[in-house]
Amino acid sequence: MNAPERSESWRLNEGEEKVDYEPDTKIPNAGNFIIKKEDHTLGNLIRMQLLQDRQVRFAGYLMPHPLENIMRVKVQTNGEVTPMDALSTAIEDLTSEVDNLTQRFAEGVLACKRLQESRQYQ
Amino acid sequence: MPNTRAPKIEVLELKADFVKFVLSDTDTSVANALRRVMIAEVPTMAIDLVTITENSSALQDEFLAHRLGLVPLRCEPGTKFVYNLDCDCEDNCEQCSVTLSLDVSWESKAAGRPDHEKDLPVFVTSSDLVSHDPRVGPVHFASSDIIDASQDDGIMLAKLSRGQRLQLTAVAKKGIAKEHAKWSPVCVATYQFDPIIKVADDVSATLTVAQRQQVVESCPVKVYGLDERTNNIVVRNRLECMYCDECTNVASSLKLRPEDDAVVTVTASQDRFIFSVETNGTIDADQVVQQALEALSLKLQTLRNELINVKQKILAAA
Amino acid sequence: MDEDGGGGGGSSGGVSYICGDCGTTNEIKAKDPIQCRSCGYRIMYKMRTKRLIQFEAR
Repeated sequence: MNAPERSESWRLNEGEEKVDYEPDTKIPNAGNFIIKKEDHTLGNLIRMQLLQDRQVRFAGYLMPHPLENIMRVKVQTNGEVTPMDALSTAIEDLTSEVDNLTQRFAEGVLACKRLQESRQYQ
Repeated sequence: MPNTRAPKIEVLELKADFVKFVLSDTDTSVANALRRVMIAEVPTMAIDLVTITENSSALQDEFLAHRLGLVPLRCEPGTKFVYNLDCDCEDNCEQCSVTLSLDVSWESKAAGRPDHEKDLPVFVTSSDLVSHDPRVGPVHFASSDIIDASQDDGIMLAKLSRGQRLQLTAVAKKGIAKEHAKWSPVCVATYQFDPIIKVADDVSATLTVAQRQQVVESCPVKVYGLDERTNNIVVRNRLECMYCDECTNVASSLKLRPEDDAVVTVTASQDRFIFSVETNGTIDADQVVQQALEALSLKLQTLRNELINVKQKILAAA
Repeated sequence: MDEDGGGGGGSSGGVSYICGDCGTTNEIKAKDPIQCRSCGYRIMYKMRTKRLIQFEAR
């Protein structure tokens, strides 16, 4: 009865911002990103990509509560870049990787179909 | 872009409803994101609203409505719908939904039956659902061979006995499985780590042939074999390995001294993932993967755009 | 809730019920005894509404 609408797990509410940024007040070069309507799918993906970055000192994500569709990403950098820029690069890198994968998969499917056809003729 | 990887994909097996491929040179997080998106974020069509006109069957309306929701609906490749909530129409229209109707009565179906079957109940199945859109309809058998082998002609919805009737219309809408599992396009979407199996021939030489045979036979999925000529343990079906550790346990029990090296070692590769994706028939298997990658890319793109917005807002405030 | 008994009885304000024993339809008005007119059985069933009803399939 008190459960939230299921569609709220992926659909932004009226006037809701997708991303909020809170700079950390205690740690230098650190900040929290509050990303709404996202979960472990992007959380872990972004975290692992951030950890590849030499300029990132800390990267972590958490889902504060399973019924709240919010994901928090915490980033601390070494000061050469802002956490915002570090996250942007990480996402940029991931986008190109996924787009690359889309192409690789299409090629893989074609190759497999060709192989199946050639087997049929034999 | 300094930290991009160049992942590879090799498709091992491809059928209409099944695809098996190896994803390599990337991180577990990418494999897991792909798996999660395939399961929960590839949009499909499913019945979401049921208007029941007559139901004199033994099943309650709510129960039937729930069942109808779970019937997978096949969507012709290239068919595009918009989400009902994003659509400009008032209730629903052909851009955001598909109407299906069902009207079965015992009398209508039992009419042409031979005498000895006269009083048997009539089956209402998913094939009785009539779609008003030719591009979308209840999933049917993948091939005619399967139809011949099957006992029935669709997914059972209800059974009717004499005098009973079921009449309803159902509205199918586009959705994703994050909202309800009925929208999931896949039955199975998993990946396993590529097994790395090593046989130390020098150590295995200290075992007798019977002992080697014992190691070979320990595997429940027949990963190993004995070479006919040399009687050495060889790996025959590496991809079948399911990390049960039977072989390593048996091999270590055969050791002369506990400090001896292991005969066989099984480790999981950290950057090769074997994906198995089986669909429920709503979309073709390769399309599921393709659409999952597109959905993932779209998620990242929206996030990127939103980050730019946030950045500009912070700059404007400063 | 507006109880529109499917039986919706007709002009006289009565509601149709089905007898639990013999299955005949009986129209019962307010203050009438709850009893089948043809067999005297006292368990009566309300008829299904003739209205369309909508359900969320989830």
